[in-house]
Amino acid sequence: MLEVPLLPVAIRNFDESRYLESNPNARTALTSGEAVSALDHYLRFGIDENKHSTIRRETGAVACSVERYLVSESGFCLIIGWLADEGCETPRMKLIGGEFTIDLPRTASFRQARKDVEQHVRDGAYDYGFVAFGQSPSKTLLKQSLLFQVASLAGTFQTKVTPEIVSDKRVLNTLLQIIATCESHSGKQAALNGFLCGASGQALIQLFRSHVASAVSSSYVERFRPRKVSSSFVTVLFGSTEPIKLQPLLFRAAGIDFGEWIYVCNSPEDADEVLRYARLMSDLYDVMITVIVLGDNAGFGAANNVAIDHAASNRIFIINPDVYAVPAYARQMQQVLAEAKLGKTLWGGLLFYDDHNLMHSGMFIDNDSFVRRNSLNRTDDSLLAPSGRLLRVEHFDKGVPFSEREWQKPKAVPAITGAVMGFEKPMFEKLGGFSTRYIYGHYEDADLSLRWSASNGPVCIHPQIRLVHLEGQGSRARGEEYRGASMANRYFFTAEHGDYFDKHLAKTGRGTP
Amino acid sequence: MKVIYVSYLHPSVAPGGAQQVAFEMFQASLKQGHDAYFIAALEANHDQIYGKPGAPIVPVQGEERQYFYFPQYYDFLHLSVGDWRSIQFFRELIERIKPDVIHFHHYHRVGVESIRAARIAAPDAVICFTFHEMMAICMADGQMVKRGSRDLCRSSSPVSCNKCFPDLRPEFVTLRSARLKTALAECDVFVFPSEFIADRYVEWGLPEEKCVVIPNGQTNLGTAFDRSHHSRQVNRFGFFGQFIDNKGVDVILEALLLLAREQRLPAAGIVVEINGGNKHYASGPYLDKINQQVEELRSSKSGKITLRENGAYARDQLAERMASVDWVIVPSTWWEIFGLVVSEAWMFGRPVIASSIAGLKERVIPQKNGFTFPPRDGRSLAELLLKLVGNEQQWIATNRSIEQPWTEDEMLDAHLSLWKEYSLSTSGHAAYGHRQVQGARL
Repeated sequence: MLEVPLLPVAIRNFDESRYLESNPNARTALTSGEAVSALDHYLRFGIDENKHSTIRRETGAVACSVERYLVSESGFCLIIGWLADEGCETPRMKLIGGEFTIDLPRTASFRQARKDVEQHVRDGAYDYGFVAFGQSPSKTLLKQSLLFQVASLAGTFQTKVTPEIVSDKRVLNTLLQIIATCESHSGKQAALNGFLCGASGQALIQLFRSHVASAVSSSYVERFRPRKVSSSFVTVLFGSTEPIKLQPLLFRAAGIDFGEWIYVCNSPEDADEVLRYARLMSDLYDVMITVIVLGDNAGFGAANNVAIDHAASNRIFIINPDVYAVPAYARQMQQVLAEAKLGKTLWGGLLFYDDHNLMHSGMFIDNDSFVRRNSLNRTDDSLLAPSGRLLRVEHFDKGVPFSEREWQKPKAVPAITGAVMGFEKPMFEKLGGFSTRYIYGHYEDADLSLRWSASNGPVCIHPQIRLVHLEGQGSRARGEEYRGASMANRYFFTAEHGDYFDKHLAKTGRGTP
Repeated sequence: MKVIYVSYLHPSVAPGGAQQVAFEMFQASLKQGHDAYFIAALEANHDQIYGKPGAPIVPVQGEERQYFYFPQYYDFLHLSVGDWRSIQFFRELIERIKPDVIHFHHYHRVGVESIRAARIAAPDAVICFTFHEMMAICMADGQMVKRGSRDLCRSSSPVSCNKCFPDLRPEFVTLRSARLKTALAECDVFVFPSEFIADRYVEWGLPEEKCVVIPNGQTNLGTAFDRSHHSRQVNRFGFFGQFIDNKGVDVILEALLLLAREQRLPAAGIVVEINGGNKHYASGPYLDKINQQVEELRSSKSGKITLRENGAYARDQLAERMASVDWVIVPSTWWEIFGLVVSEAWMFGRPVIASSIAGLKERVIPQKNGFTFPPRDGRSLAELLLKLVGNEQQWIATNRSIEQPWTEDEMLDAHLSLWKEYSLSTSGHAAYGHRQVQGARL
């Protein structure tokens, strides 16, 4: 075999016996013939393993820019910029103040492709962009000008950064927008997986919870025509007031006595109209309507939690703003409402596109794999796993013609959609309600279902709960932040339930119920 | 009988067919000794002129039994008044009056919530609803003319409505329609001035058994008019109505242009008088088209076409305007529901030349009370004008066979019979079937 000649390296004053004495691996390699001498071992392994401080580096400058440095009211910080460190190890980033230093953990940042930087630095498959995110233990510590320092094998960079002091929501939405729109030469899923499934993901969840706490702390509640009721319908409004004009009227017209209808308004700018229509509908149709206006968009889970906390009955039906009665099946729905209790079951319904075609009948969980792409990034397996998977929530019977014969009795399913859920309030409260780890919306329904079946009882489709679901028509969540939230939630859901999915694939998979 | 009429606008505030019919029924009711009231829902800015601070409903200055209603927070797409306070005041007024009948002539600005409020306020009253347009079916101002292309729309559906309103998903159309049908279900009986509109609403989903056709009636303004009078040349044609896109002035001008280009004008010439107001409601492109047509007619220098634009007219000017024409052209390019102008022409013995469409097609019988041509067809109108101009014999024959249109009293009598049947019906829901009142003259 032709040996490839290595460059000749001469090291002055190399102490062979001291090297062997302090490196058992070198001794073993010498014995086995893997190395021909202590120097040979040092040159081929020791230097890279940094066994001796024989390597002195001159601190060179590396091109870098910090474009935004945001600090929120609760002490969350977000640093956005780019660094021309192609081929080098993960850079070390620091924020340095007068008497303190913050070493940003490697997991606190992720790299993203920046076409604009590539045009000026060099074209290629390297992620020059960086986003660093974390929460300071102090709310005020970062609200000052600091020195931002980056050190990598490519060189060092430092600059003074002055924070934009903003709300938690601004930081949250900015990061979510990046999540929605970012690309990575390693593959977006691989890059986000490394970022969201670790400490940064937890910090992001904490940031959302901080925003939620603020949004729900200033909620306004008004009840119109209060009375004793045996069921409470709960609907979260966001960006649209149409449902309050339509749902109580059309459900009532179909012959469905919903008891109390609670509208939680996640968009306070709509509060005036919602309150006006609530009173109008309540006056005209003699129905109980409760309006809860939150200070800001607290998301689907938190808004429902607040509503259920205020519910006048223990029998709760979560009804999405785009869910309506099917007159042909209203009698069955009314029969369900006439039943005494919902027991320990989390009930879902048969959701229709129209009178004849199912939209779905429960959910199951599947997964999609992803593989990290080849790129010029220095890939570190501890940050960017070579491969991974993301859970996916799917619907049974999507778009199939409805067959009455198949729906004579309840069916157990792995999960149900939050579009329609029926349960007893104490059972819901026992679980702590919807998890607020899911930002704005998506996956909290599947999460509740999995936790319900683990702790409370079965999750089933009630064959008599039959409603139309005009999917995606109820709210107007427009903006990249909502898309980013939905993406992030998928990683959070996978991090939370991935192991369960692996262990109980047969239970949660399509074939079970 | 104690009757409340609820109208969109008031003829004294803004002229229009629906409010005119409603108001004439109110006046006829008083004349016949009934205890009648008139509530006119006005436009949002009208309260600055006619309103009083903090009052959603005020009596009409200087009038008895008449009220202006200023509903707040009106939502056009849902034909909804989203204001509990406006509705409450409306409801309380009805509670005070305790009517036997509440006759709605519109939901626009009135809001469909007012129907429910009326039902609560007067649970035993007959609630009657007369449709003068198709706003519940069609969001494009109830005209069923497609936006953009201006093509005639024959049936609404969630998908086809989305073509006119791309920002509104088909599901919205479904929900809107369901909401309106639910609100309208509070009514005991639906009245339509023509079979055409009745058919459209039945197809849309109103229960056929509640639908009755009763033609509009009007005060006969031509009693002192010499109905047999015509010009020596019998060559004067008139347009009456609103100068807006769907009324078809452009079709008349197109017909004249064709005759001018082809030099087929009669020796005595043709006189066309345009009597139309509300030109400011016409679209810019439409007015541009009209101006181009007028310009071309002027430049044709045939000398045989006299075109006069007389502008808007009050009802007391109608006799004078009718006296200056022999024929009345009604060239509507939309689904004209009834065509009050046809009745007005007949009051004065003027034969009508109308588009063969919707309510006009039902009413105008060729050779008997007028002539028809295919809608939007300038060529056919041109041929018809040529055939009729100077044709004294035809004019006299038609003039003699024109029946006087229904008066407001006849219209009221038909409604009273209907309402009495409902009042007597123990169920409150007599089975009528989609029918036309016997003896009605369209």
